[in-house]
Order: sequence, then structure tokens, then C-alpha cells
Amino acid sequence: MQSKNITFLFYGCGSEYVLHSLYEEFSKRKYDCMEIDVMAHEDSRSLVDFLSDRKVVFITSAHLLMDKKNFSVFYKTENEFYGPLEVIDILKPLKSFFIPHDLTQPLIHFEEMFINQFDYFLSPCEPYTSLYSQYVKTEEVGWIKYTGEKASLKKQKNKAIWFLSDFVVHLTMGAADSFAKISPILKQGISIKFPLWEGSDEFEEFFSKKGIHVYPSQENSIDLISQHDIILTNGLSSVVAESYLLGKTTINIMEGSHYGDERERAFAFFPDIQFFEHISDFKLSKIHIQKRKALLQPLDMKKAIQLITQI
Amino acid sequence: MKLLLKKIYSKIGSRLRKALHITEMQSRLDEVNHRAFLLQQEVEKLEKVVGTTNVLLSGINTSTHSLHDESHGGSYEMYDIFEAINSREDDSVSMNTILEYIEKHYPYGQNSYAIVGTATHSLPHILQKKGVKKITNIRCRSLVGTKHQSQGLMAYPLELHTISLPLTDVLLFPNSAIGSLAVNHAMFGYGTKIRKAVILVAYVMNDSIFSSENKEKTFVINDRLVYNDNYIRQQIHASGFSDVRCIYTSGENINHSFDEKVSHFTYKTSSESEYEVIKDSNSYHTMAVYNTHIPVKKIYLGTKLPVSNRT
Repeated sequence: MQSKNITFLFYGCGSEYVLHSLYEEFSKRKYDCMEIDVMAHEDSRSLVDFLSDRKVVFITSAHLLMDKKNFSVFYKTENEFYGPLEVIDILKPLKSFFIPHDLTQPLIHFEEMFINQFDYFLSPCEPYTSLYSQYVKTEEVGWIKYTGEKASLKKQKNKAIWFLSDFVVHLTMGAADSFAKISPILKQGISIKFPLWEGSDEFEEFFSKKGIHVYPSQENSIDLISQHDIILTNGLSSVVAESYLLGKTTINIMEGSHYGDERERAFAFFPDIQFFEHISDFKLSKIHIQKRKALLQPLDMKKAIQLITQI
Repeated sequence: MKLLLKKIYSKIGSRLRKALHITEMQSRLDEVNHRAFLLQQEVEKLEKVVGTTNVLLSGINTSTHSLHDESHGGSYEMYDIFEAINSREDDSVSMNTILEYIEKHYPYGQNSYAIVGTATHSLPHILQKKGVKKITNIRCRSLVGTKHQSQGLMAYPLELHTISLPLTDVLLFPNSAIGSLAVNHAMFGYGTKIRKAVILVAYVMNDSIFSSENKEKTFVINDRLVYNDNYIRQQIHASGFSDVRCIYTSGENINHSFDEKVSHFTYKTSSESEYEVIKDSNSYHTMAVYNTHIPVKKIYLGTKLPVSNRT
């Protein structure tokens, strides 16, 4: 079947939509493709319904069980949208692909029960390739957020950086209280990068004024990880695995973070992460820099396109 | 002469020794054979004892199960284990309903089936005759461990989870004993391997069908476990099925009619996920029909995709 007669639907949700580079590559190659970020459309249901009589290949990075109802539990939105499983039911795609947006937890609890609804799981790396191949056809294509373009290894101001996650907690606190809470760590000579989120610019400004070295939230996380020796994380962020698999010394600050009951499961594959229960426990001078082989591979664009267009 | 006699004596002596040796070897071999025979008999006896002990131990184990504390019915699981092993239950109504349903919704030629816990080979045989190409048939046995036979696999009921099920479209638990065990044992972990649907037979307390209460997960009627409808649905959802509906309810009062209650899984967090009833047949039947506290046999259908979400 000619893949040129098929619509390639790239589907995701807000910051968890990580398929834009792939979509751009498909567009460049003149494939008929559509990109839906459900947070960017008031009613993306009509767009999906519009495709219901077309031949569609479905590619998503959204949580499989994420639909309007349960997404509203975490984040209030007026937007109307379908969850990925509903899209599969409506479009009955010729082929469907799942590309995870989170390297620490490619699939969250319950999702592994549903991954077999897809034709392929495009895995970022081991152990996920082996782990999920028992449920669904799995091909390793590298990490979608890792372009592989060599970042300049310019000397950075500090050897350690904190990628702050669970940002909603800090937003609720406000910049001043957030600073008061985490500055005992930052003042040890640690840079910070906030996630690209509504309100992060206000935090960047406040922390900069307090003398902290702040990276703009738009900066590429992989590049920044490569340029630092010690990576601080908190919660269940994807950066934890990105840093670990790039061979960096990875710290996880537990205070004020939310793990639900997923912590043990999520970190089972990363035994050398150093956890600190309290902010006051962390002393940069006592951290021994570990040297491990970088295992993370950039996205193999050619292979990904070949798999997706092979009908 | 003396020398000649010496040689003859020596030869005769050697032959005698050889003959004696052979006789001794022969008698030892007979002894070994006899002992092997006795040992085989002992092994057979022991296997029977192990089988019986397994069943007894199952009862002991379940008495410490949380179900036992909650409903004092946990140890009644033994009944289902015995039933599953001996599979005395033969209900042609259930079987015909299941066959009619799958013929209509999951065409025989296009789907693979796994059948767990049938007494005979009749159901796999029927499906084979109707054109199903891939059937995994798993029967229950009283001994520990699994055994491959030409007609399928055999396993001790509480060891069904050790069987690695191939990816299968439709999973059938066609008798209530194995259905009951499946409900209590997370469907033996088979949910991740099922692509389309599960069909499960179970005994349900009829007055729990249209109640959202889940206070009592199980009831004990005539020494056997009967379930709360909501508990069964919860367990099916937890095994990775978006929607659960009933395709058959027994009982003269309701004239074998289908009840129309449909429940839908809603993911919140791993510990808080729940389901909601999205369609109810309460309006079609008078409550009086369901007010009697008696067990009814129901056939549940769990589907992977949330097909009912848009209806």
C-alpha cells in the first residue's frame, strides 16, 4: 500500500507531546500528516472525527489512559478531546505507534495492560525494549528528545545543575517561598533550570535576582545534562533517567516531591541514583562524581520513519 | 600331569567365578528393577498426596487472605479449586451464550482465543470446527507445576499465573469455578496479553448488581463464594479492560435477559483508580426483581477499548 495516500496523525497532550520533530520530518518529505496537541485545540474531537473515513496511521506520545475525564482530575481544561484508546476505537488505524515522552516511566501503572492495543512500541532504550516486547512488537529507535546533534561542551559556571520538577507545587508556593525552601542547595554553587511551564519566567527572574545561575526553560535539557557533572532532580521527572542513562552522577531530592506509590517501580532500573530525603542533607562537596558509560542513543530518525511508513 | 591338572582347575575356577559373577549381577539387576518399580509406585502415591496437599494448603493459605477477614469466605475458595480441577460444572446455557456472543462480535476466522479451565476439550473443539486457527487451551490439574500435552497445557489452578500466555485476542473463563478464581487472582496476570476482550462466568449476588456499594466483596451461599457485582467489575477493570458489561444473567425472574449495566474505567492514580457506571439497566427492570438475596450466574464481557464511551 502506498503510504502517500495515508494520513499520519501525530497526537499528544501539551508538554507531553514530543513528536513535533518527527512531524516536521514527515512534512518535509511531503507525507500527508496532521499534528494534534489536544491542549492547543478547543475541540480536537472534531479533527479526529474528520479523519474517521480516512486511512490513518496513528502515532502518539500521550498517556494511553489519558482522556478528558481523568485528565481533568490533574488539570482543569475546557478543551474537548479524545484519549488515545478512544482515537484507536474511532479511527481503527492501519497501524498505531506509541512513542513515550517520559524516559523514567515510559508507561505508568495500568498502561502496560493497554500497550498491546498498539502495533508498535518505539522504545527509547533498554531495559524498556526487552521489558515491553512481551506485550507488543517493540523496536528500539533511541530517545525522541535527543537529537544527537553534538552540544558544545563549553565550560559552564557550575559543575552541578538542578532540573526542578513537580513545578506545580512551587507555583502554588510562589517564587519567594520556593526560593526559601530550595536555596540551601542552590547556594552551594548549583545552577537551576525550571521546566517550560506557564509561570516559569517569573521564577527565573526572581531566582536570578537572588544571585542564582538560572538557565532559560527553553534550553535543551539533554545539552545541559551533557555539559554538567552532577545532575540534581526531584520527583519522577524524565530527566532522572536521561541523566542516568547519559552516565551522569544523578541526585534525587525527595523533600516536597510526589511519587505516589510509583517510586520503587520507577527507579528499579537506576540503582546508582543518590537519594536525599531532606534538602538539608545535601552537601555538594561530599558528592563523589561517578563515571558510567552513556547508554542513551539519539533518535534514529531514518529507522523511525521507515517503521512508521511501512504499511 | 600336575601342571596340566593345575591349568584345568584354574580354567574351571575362572569359568565358575565368571558364572557366579554373572548370576550375581543378574540378581542385582533384578533387585534394582524391583526397587525402581517400587519407587515408581511411591512417586505415584506421593504425587497424589502432593495434589491433595496443594488443595488443602490452598484452603489454609486463603484463611490468612484479606478476603477471609473481610467476609470470612476466603477459605471457601477451596470449593472453586476443587471445581476447577474436577470441572464437574457443565452448563450448556452458559456455553451456548458465549458461543453465540463471540460468533457475532469476534468472528472465528479473525481472532485467536485462550480458553482457561474447561473440563473437556469440547469448547476448543467447537471453536476449531468453526474455523478458529489459534487456540490456547489451558486445563486445571491437581498437581503442582505445568504440563504440556498434545491438547494443550495443564496447570494447578493457583499456578496458572506461571503460564506465559501468548498474545491473544479473546480470553475465555467459561466456568464459574475458574471465573471465580480469576476474579480473586488478578486474572492470573493474563490481562496484559489480551488484545480485545475477556469473557468470564461468575456467581453474583443479584441485589449487588444495581448497587454501587462494595462493602462486601464476597458472600458465602451453600459453602461457595458468590461475588458482589461491583467487585467483579473492579477486578476486570484492574486487569486492563476499559469497559465491562454483562452479556447474560441467569434467573427465571429476569427471563435470561441481558442486563445493560456498563462500567467504564477511570484512571486517577495507581492507588485511586476507579470505575463509573456509564449505562444502567435499572430503568428497564423493576428493583423488585433484584431485591432477593440469591446468587445468579452472570457472564461478563470486558473490552480493552473504551467502545461505550461515545454511546
